[in-house]
Amino acid sequence: MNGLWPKDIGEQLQVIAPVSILRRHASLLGSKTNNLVEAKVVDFERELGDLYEFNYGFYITAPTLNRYSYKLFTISHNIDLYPVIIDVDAELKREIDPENEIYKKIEANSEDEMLQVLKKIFNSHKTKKIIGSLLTIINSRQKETVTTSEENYNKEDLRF
Amino acid sequence: MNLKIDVVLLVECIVPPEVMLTALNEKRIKKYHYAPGIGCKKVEIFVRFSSEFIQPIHEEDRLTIRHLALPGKLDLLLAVTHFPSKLSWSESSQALECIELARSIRFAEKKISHSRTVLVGDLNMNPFEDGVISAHGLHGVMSRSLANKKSRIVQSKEYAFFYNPMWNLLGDATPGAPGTFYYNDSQPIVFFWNMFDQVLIRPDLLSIFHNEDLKIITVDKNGSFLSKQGIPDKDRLSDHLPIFFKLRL
Repeated sequence: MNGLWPKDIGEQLQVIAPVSILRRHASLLGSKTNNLVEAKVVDFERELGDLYEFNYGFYITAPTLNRYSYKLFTISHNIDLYPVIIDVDAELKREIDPENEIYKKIEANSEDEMLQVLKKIFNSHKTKKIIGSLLTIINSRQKETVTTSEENYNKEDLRF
Repeated sequence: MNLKIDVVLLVECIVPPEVMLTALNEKRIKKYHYAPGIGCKKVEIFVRFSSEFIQPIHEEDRLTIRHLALPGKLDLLLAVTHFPSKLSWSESSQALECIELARSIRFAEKKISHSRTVLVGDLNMNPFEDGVISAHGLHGVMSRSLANKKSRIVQSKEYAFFYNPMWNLLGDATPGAPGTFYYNDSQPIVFFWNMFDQVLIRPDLLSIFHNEDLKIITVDKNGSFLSKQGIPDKDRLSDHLPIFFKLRL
């Protein structure tokens, strides 16, 4: 029986999934920083209020600095893969997309467009500053002799 | 009134940290330390213990989450945020952004392997707005007994509660001002007083938080924070009133 399904069913699209692009570029940061600062992609479980089916976060991390993380941006898309919605904070948006409204999310309609946006994000002053700050803090801690502060906290409550 | 504050949390602070630190430490024996963030510059923190005990573990542009680990004391997560304003964001956009905030808090809790978390900040939302209430948002509830149930299931997913004690301070039946932010406009629906500045507490910390340890502050030794009209004196001080709370470690 031939069935109703076409012969070419099950073939993968000749498109790279946005999350694969993110993961590939995330994996390249560590090699530039002796793995002191890395990047990580987190797959978000879909929440009731999420507008898109697939949501991911892109984090800058410092494994030796209390596992510090900084959420640089998020991407979202539906089953069609593109367009991809790239959500950056206002400061980063102002830097990489100054001609558009500050709170309008960035939309990439193809792999090429997504790569262009990622390049702008990775080359932005803000991204470099965060990575630079983390490296400076890590290096300064390595030089310091580890001392335990004598200012131990002996009160029974903590007031904010 | 001397509140003997250990942790000063400031958002939208235009005073440089070195100037603030000098002012805070004037005539003070037990000095404050500056506890800077790394990536978050919208929140400033000053503490009366070494800043090594309040390290940032996760940050975003408008959020810093600190691991507050004082020697010999229960460690906790302190999340401080300055949420987008209603001047530029609709209530719906704020509610959607709360999904991200809740996600980030869960991310940090997973990293540190507990959920002893306090969320503080200028949320630019009232305790009764969707973003603060909804399960996939902050899930802040108005009573301890509800919060003590720890979580609830919505659409087959479990969502942890926050206890939001700010409900208790809404209106004029309690000491202090009716809210922390005053806004009047010639449109039909205006709350006048808003409770934008909030502290929300995870159920695992409720035993060390007592409701009487939360206050809206309207006065200090230098005088009132209110204008002659009885609203925050924004020309002289700030358009928000500060909140004070205590955790009994």
